Amino acid sequence: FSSGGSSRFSEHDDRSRVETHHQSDRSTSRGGYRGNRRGSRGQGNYRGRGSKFRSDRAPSGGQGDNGNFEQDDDGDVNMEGTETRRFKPYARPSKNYDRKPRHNNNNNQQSRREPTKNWYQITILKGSTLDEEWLKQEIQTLAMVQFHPVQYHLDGNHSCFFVDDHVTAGTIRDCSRKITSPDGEKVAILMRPYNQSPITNDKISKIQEVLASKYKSDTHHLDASALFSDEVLRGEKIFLKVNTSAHMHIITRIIAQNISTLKSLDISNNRLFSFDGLKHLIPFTPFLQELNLAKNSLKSIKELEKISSWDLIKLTLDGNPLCSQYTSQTEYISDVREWFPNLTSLDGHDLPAPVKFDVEKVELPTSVLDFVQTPNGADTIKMFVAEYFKCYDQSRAMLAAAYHENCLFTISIPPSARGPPLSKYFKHSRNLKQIKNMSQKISTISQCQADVLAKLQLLPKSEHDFSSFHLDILLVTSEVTNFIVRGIYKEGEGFEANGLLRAFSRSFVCQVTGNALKIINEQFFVRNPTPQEIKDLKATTTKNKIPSAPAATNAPSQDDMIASFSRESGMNVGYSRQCLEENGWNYEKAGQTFLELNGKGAIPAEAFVK
Amino acid sequence: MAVEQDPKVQIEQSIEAGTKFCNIFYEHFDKTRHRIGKMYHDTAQLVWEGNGVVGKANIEKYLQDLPGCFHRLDWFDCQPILSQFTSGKETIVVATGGTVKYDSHPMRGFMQNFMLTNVDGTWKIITDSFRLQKTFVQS
Repeated sequence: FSSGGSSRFSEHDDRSRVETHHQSDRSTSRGGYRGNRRGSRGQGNYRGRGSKFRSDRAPSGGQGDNGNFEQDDDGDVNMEGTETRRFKPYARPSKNYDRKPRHNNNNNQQSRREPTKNWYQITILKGSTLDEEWLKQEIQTLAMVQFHPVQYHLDGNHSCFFVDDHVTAGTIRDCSRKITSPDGEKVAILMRPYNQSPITNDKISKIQEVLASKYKSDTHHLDASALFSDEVLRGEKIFLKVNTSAHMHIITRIIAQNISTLKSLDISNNRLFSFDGLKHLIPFTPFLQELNLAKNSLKSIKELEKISSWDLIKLTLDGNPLCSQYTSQTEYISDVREWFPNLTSLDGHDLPAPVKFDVEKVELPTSVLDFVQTPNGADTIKMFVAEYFKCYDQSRAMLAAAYHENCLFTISIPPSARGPPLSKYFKHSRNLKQIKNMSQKISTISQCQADVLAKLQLLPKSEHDFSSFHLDILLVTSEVTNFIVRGIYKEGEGFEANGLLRAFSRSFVCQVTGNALKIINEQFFVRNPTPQEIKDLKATTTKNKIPSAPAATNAPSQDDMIASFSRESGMNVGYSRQCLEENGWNYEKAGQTFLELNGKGAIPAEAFVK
Repeated sequence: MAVEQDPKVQIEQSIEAGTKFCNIFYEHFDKTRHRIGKMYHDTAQLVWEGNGVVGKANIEKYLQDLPGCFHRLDWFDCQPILSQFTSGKETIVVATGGTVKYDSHPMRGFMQNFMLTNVDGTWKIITDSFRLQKTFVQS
């Protein structure tokens, strides 16, 4: 209740500030003779606002930062940008920047021992859709500067990172609106001093340990409440502010890499005022059903929209300012349910059944993996595909026979990679939504057999996983066929352990001459696989490989068995040993057990962390 | 009937037809889907997530039954099938991709491949293959 009161108070406070602002405008605009004064007064106001933001930012960490972006990025933030630029000749900003580290030194003795760096935060407006690697290269080429972005993270629709020197930061900022994004928009870049240091890697592993201790694997519950006051973290001088997107990003990455099976998350009491950071956790935690957001600083129910892709069953919002805005419980429940229609429990109370109509949820048809329009010619196509990809992985020059002399070929990648960058494909890529000039639209299409082969040779080496292949045969006539092959391949040479996985889709149109096929059109599309696709791939490759393993060795030692089991199941050594022990060292039985459990999704994600 | 055209001209024509098609198809699919059937050839083949549907009328019915949706197109590409292979019939292949949000379903990535042919001055879809990116399986 008290927090509700304060919210109303601050709202009122805001309004009164706006009013005075208006009044001052009105009063100063009277009379021509005051024109001069208005100028000076206007500037005074303006400077006042600037300092207000600065003071907001300093004590509350990210809160002010995010608030700025959320409210109106083009107004306040830009204003700050122009302010810094305008005052630069008079060296005022640098005075400010100088003052800050000194302030830090007084407060924090440790920083006197380690040389303190001045950190700068670079914000790319609407940068969340851009590829990190692409952006870095664009800036480096344009500004002729080498830099290392620290802690690249997403903040709402923006992306941010840190650099540790003023000159670099300034150079990057000067690239603002000089780079054109793949969507054809000018990329706006902001820079500001960041008066903390980004969290170092050893501290991140400390945070990981702490989070691991707060995770219950039996219930898939993570207790991340009140992290800023956690004793262990404080002991390590780590002050986690979950409400800053940079810190939220660290937690997101830890969860994504270790506990994607998370079902219940308690992130209460963390001073969250928006979900700009939290929403980036959604793609990594598809099984989340319970979320505790109690005792945070959420002011608007509309924030829930940002996390509405989670299909929540239990939600706790108690103790947030937004709760006190409601006088009617029914209204509160129905507003929350608008974003979470399957909610059965809110703030610990069971909810009444929702009002439902039949038209509301229309199910999508079930997916079928392969499609064959007619069995005629299907075998020829399957053989062609098998032969083609064998050559593609081994020696692409041999593919000459597969292509017609006058074939056409294009390769495309999505505008944002969402994962490891696709830069090796980028320069060959043809996306007619982005390419504006006709000569480039034509030059990105390879127009004869020799061109196609040359282009295929330039693409990264590959190793296709045939178990992941799916084939849609759309059209078979006596003259042409059209079919699409989809699947996953490992990028890189040989059997690299850390080969990148890529998902592909290749649509072929072939000329049919008797039983022989020649490709006349190919559209090749590469992207990064979704987490689910990677998981499916692991399951199928294990299924295909396990029976062959025990035959190869006569009496394998336990260590060999563990190593081999670990390699084939994708689980780490500890879990592999456990699985084998529980099955009396029967390799085959352990494999079956693993497949059953994995099929049910009963194996914790930690098991696959090596 | 046109014989052996310059491939460059055919590529330019395919770009014009493909670009217009992408703009019109998704606009109509999202807003006025009851009319989308008109874009298909009488004997068209639709493969929606592996489910095959043949013929304009069946396709119209099938697409009507899908939930309301909104597509965002991120990329597309098109090529002509050169006239030497189609005995002069103007034919193009179009590949598209982006995200789609069906009512009360989470947003997902999709990819679609079309083959279109020019029938008496109007372009018609002959084959349409639609695939969603696999995300988690909802229980």
